[in-house]
Amino acid sequence: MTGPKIGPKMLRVDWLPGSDQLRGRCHCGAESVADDPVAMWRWLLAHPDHPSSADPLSSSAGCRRDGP
Amino acid sequence: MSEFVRNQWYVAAYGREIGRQLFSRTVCGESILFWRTEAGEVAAMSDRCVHRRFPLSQEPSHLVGDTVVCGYHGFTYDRGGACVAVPGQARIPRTARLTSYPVTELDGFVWVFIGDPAHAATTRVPRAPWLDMPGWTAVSGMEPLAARYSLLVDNLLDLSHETYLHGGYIGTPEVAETPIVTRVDEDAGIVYVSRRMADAACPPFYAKSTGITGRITRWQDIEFTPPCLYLLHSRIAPVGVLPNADGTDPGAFHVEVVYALTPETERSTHDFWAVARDFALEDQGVSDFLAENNRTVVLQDVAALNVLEQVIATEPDGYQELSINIDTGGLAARRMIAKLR
Repeated sequence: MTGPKIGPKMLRVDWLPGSDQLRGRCHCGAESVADDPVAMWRWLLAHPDHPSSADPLSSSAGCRRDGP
Repeated sequence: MSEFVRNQWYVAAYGREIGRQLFSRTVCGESILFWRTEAGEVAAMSDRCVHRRFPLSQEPSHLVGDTVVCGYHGFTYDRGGACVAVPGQARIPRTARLTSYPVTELDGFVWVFIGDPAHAATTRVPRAPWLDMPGWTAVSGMEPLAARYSLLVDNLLDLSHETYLHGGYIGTPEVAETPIVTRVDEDAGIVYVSRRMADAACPPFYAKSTGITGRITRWQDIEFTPPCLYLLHSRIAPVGVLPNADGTDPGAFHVEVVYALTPETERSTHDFWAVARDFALEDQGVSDFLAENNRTVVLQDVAALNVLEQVIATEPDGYQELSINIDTGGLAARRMIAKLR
């Protein structure tokens, strides 16, 4: 009953508890937050050219690249 | 253009369905004849005689040793689909050969490869070992679904519907209320969706099978390997009981819910389901309860998806949908399936 073995190309979307927001994390380490799963997948699948935000309505949503 | 994902393995039957009687099932639009050789191996070939297209599964077609004799004019085929006898003449036309299919039996399923057979050996057959493993007891069945495969994918990847469609069976309010975590392994081609409920009501499905009377910690960990195999790793424990640090988990009940989603036609699907458990292994009453209850749940899905199929079949292509957070895993699965096409 263990979780998935983390492969080198794992994409992850967390529905942030207590909120309606989704936080996406690419295997490259880039992260962003949005409240629309369609927009979130669009942002994740844009790798390596992630837009600055997954949220099309926000220019200030957090996006950072903290991976290699 | 066909919606089917080709060059993939699909579950065609349970091993128990295939014997010395000719058996037919349509997979991805292809009518396939299955039978077991005298040595017990499964053979799979087109269910249409090359002569006048008579279905070889149709009586009076029959087996003679390890050959199939067409019941219409007697064309006879070996286990590889080659014609070995035709009526009234010695010459067998070169083209008298049935399409044969790679097959393999694993975990109680008969898998068939749809596509170019040259790719079969190098294409993964996903596993559901609990269905045929010491320490586990399984019940299983298959329900015909008069709806397209993609509707069943959507259904199984978003379990929030349990709260509404399966209330009183497996659904409780906490399922729809609990946020999910979605992971996609791009290399392995697997979608994971996890829903971890720390303090939830125990639905009858689990209360009656485990004997737990109070609230529970309930984990639902989906592992979907498109196109065909869906696993729901379900963990049920009295509220607050967690696995040990070393990974052992003696305080919990584990249920592996397995689905094989096999397209029959563009608008119908074989909905194979199985429930394996690691408790009450010898208790036939628990087996009977889980089999009846899970079949009821599956039939609730079938009824809903059959209606949905009729509705969307009348909609123009590109009909409008709305996706919200609960759909994050389903969207990932759709995209992975599209990549396989």
